Amino acid sequence: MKDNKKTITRKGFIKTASAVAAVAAVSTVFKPSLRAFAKGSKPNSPAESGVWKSTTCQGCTSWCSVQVYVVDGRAIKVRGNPNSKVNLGNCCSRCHLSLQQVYDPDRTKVPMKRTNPKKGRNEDPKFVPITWDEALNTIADKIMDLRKNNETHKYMLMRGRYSYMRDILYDRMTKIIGSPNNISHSAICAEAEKFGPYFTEGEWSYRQYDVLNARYILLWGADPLSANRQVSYYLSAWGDALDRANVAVVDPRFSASAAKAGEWMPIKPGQDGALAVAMAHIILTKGLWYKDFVGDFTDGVNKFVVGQTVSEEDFTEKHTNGLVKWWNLELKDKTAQWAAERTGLPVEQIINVATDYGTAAPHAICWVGGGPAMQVRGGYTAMAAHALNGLVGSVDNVGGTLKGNKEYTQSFPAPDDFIDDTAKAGKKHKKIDHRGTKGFPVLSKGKPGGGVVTNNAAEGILNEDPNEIKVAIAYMNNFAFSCPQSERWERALSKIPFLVHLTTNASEFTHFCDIVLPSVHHMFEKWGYVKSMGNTYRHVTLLEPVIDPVWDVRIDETEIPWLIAEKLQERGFSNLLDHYKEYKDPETGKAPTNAAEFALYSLKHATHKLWDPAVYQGGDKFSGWAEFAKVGVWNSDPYPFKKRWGNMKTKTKKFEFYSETLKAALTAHADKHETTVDDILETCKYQARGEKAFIPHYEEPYMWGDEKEYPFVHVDYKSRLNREGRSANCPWYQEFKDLDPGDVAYDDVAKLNPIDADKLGIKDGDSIRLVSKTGKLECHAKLWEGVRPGTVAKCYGQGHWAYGRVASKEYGKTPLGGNNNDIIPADYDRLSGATAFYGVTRVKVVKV
Amino acid sequence: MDYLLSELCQRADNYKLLSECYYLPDEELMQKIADFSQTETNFVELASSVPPAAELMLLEVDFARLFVGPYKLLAPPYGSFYLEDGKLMGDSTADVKVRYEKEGLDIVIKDAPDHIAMELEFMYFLITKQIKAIEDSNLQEAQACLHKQSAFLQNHLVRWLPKFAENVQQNSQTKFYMQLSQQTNDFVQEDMSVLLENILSSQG
Amino acid sequence: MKFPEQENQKKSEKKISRRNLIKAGGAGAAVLAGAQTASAKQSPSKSKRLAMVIDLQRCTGCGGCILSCKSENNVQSGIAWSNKKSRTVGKYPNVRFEYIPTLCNQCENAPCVKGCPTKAMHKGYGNITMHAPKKCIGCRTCLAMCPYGVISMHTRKPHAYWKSEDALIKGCTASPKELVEKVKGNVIPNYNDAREKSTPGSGLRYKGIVEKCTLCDHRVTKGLLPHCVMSCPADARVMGDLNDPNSAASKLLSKYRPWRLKEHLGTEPKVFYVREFNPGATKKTKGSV
Repeated sequence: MKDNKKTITRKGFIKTASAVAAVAAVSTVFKPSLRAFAKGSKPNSPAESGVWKSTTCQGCTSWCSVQVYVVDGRAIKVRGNPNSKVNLGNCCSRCHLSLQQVYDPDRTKVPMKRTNPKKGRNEDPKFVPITWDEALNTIADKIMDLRKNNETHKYMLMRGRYSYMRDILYDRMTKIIGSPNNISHSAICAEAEKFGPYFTEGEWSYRQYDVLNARYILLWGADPLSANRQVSYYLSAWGDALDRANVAVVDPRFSASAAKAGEWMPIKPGQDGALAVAMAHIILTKGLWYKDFVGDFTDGVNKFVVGQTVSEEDFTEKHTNGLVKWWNLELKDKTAQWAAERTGLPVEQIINVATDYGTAAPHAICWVGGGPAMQVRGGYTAMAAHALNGLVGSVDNVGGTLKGNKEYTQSFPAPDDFIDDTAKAGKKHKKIDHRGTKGFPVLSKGKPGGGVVTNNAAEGILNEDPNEIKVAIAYMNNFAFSCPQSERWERALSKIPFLVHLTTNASEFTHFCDIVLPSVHHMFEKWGYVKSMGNTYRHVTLLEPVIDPVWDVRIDETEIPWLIAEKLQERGFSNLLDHYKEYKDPETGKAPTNAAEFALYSLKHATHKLWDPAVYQGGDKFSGWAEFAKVGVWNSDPYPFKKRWGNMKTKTKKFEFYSETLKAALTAHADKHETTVDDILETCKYQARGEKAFIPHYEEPYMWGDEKEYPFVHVDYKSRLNREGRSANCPWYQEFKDLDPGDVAYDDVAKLNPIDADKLGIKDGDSIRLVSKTGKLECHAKLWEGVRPGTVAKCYGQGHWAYGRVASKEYGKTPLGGNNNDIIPADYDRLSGATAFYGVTRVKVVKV
Repeated sequence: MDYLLSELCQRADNYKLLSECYYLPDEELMQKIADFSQTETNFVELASSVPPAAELMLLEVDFARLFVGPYKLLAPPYGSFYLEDGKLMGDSTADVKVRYEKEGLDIVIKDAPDHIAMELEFMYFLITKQIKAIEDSNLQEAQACLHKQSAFLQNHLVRWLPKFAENVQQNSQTKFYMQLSQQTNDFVQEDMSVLLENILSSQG
Repeated sequence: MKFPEQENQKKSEKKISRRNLIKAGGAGAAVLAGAQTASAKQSPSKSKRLAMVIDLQRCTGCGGCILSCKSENNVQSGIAWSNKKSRTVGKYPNVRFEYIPTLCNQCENAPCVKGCPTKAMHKGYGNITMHAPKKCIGCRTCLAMCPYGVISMHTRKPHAYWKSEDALIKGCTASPKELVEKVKGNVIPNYNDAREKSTPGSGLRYKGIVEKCTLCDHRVTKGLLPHCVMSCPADARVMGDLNDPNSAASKLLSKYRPWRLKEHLGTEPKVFYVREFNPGATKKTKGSV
């Protein structure tokens, strides 16, 4: 370089600085213009130009707190919300499908009405678009007609998936109109699964599992790496859990979780109870029960010997009730050999698994999923399998099975003052689903008739028993697809003179409707909240409108009831609107004046104690609503392990192997119908008599169809891409259907063991028909080593004949693949009300 | 304070004028240089190297030979050429682009993001943004701008201008571009050292 | 390190005074050092060799990587940059399910790069195998050369589904095209412009060219992890620089014996697999004769 050159230096210009300053003190000589650049549309954009906004995914009931990446009001991609202690920033694969749901062209974009008065599967509804005003006026008129004629009990509300804003539409509106008929979907979910923990440890709920501290995880008809519950958390924890825990999977089908387990136990469908009681037998005879929880023989000598009864006085129980009774009444003869004969599993495998499970006490999880429970006699199986957690002391323990942590949401204002005499009279009528009748004890939370018998409501409607249904509103449900023997629903819905559907897509259910109201997509366009648990925490996570709504849609659980309430007020019935006006904004004390305000205020009210530091109760603390809404999720305090030991919500306050709680519930139901418990059990298809009714025990499976005519047992399961029944219209769903082990992309296959297929002369890809006693479906065959011979495994989710262009072969007419509910008969575990999905359907396989 | 601000203004002006000098030369530019040298002693030298208007053509030819083509560029005015062994549109170009994007700037001329004119103008932009922030009493923002300048210089101009200047010295046929490239480099190097000095001296 | 976006966005809380604004950096050397580190992350470095290590024990086969890639990169149906190979092996009841997530292997000796006549396939930042759509002539040499089948050809206009003008229920539902227009998408409704902004022509691709995973170069060059890595709920994907012995990827590769697909071909893939998809325990046995 040339040093002698005089160059531009800072010193140089600083010397003349004052001169310049005089000219232009605070502006540059050049006009502030750019030559090579232009200001972009998104100033100060970080590395990514959008914003991650918090909301909740309800693709399954994991209810993960998630975030949506939004650019200019448009959703681009999704991820787990890093602020959640439950799903820890993770979401599973099905969450990504939500993008194709919210942006599904087949969403209803405007209210529509039916113009073809004839209803039926083969009747085109001939929907035409109408205004919101016309739709709401029509609905209000129909409701007012019921009220004028004192037949408000002929109003019905059907609920499918929900957020906890549900009571506004489901409970309050139904009550104030004056009907007993708010029917939820819960019994097609997994009520029987809750039966086990309730009648042993007093918790009518799903559970969470401390898998990272477990030494043994026994998955029983549960597939947490694929479906329900808290999938994303278990996906995140599983690789590490495997470092410490042995995993065994009880499932006739080689599930996604079995693919990562040390032990697969391909049990004969419906025989789960046999395995459970045999495991208990082995744990007791080998002395592996957890003595700190269960107690011990007074002399320390194990008297649990095959075939021998034990004196109750010889055993001192700690936090459990009735172990010896259980042994004497049920377990003493239930050897591995006995179970092997029924379950089709090798004796050694049963002994090995029971021994390893017992040895891992108390960090041994028995994870009871829907599989063993949602069967005709599944309530007792759920109890038997869950009782294993009691034996090894993993209940409420580190590395065990836990309940939900405490949370502090609050209910909506009580409706009592707004329920007038007309409504009171209407409410007194019996419910359409027959709960609480002799044949439907439905002992939800120990109360006879306390739960719902969702699928039986179809019978009630069809038979006008106890009365006809004239006006019905349904939201986020699709009973004509999701309920077994769904053809009954097609007829029942056709019979309802005025049916309204609040939905995103024109589904099978919609096909029978008179008015269709386009609803928000829960994850992108709705205000609401849900609670869920995992990772030993519970979170309360907000559903928030994170994008510009795609169409002229309204929020199903809040805005629409408000809009109906306004219309009712115009017609002289203001009780509903007056009640809704009590849902005030906790921040300002203001009553809502329109639907949008109502949606927001009611949510702020329900979650008030979570976000308002002035009424703080526990868990995460926020500065106020704004911060809570931004973060999107509240986390509970850490789990108080063993706090419930000796203080359970059962009659004895202990973990009940002999359930005084069930005894009280069953006796109450028998008393109500002036009969004996034995008579009730006989009516409800159970085999137990006498004292056995109150203990976890084995019942033979109850299946539909003669074994000779229908040689196979159908095994239903759920896809890891199922967003309940709502994702089949997403192109990605079809494209990646093979993410479920054994399944095929762009197809719907029934999986047969090659041994069976050979006998039938069926090859891979053949078109086949599955025929049961109550129905049939068509799909393709897949020869697969992952199914037990004698069973046919088929995934639920396909077989839509409506919903959209991708989901159906021909919208409104021809299904794509087959719907399992077309072959599953409508039957129930009547003690819980749960619909039977598993171990209930015998089928034959026919080549088409 | 006014003194400090005016210093900033001058830095901005210097970057802006230098940036302008790397576009196809025209009379307007020559006039700007002449005007600027009235108040800015540093540009006196450069102004003196401006040829008479009639010979502007010579500058245009030299400009094309050095920076535009169509034959082999004698002194490619692109950062990645010097930072990545003769590569154009390299990783460093991507990095420059990211920095522009982070400021919400879209490129509106048809050239690579690491063209010297753009990089110099980007410095002008950052400094004016800093001035604006000070006027708005947005101290956080002003500080951020300061660091962005230092990071940008350190990663780009400071690293490749010496080689670029040398290239121009060796290949230019006009005094103007020799002078320009040399002064650009010297100014930027000094600006960098003073920036760093200032940042570090603040610790005490 | 789960969310580098957030970490990068964290701002210094330190107070600064108006007086030392220009003369001083305010927060001082710490901030400066921070700025330098941050810029070093983004600054060009020819010596980086980016690799991905996939921990199969953590992988659950959920497909989150596949679907998140679809949304990040606007990948049309029928093509998956992030993909998997899976099969069920054995005879009932002794079966296992094998699952391997796959993606472009970012070979050190990339046959696609060697074979490309127009240099559309080329090596870029971090030695990523890049594809320049504008240089691609659709000759498919790369498809033929790639031993892994991870390059896809557009034989028809992409995203045909979204171009349909048919509505399911006239007046009540939209056509795909109408939906895209309504939400102001670009060909697809959830169009992500991140790629296009980074490399023009790469945002949606078009008929007559090939496409493949480029390790989310548009994110990586900005100091962000590839979207599949961010989206993996199991943290089974670990990204790192092989030239840095302390990178998370290098550490994993030292701890476990890695393997790669078709190693014998000498392509030197930079996608490594460690541990077993199913590490389940087995009972002791000496077997039998």
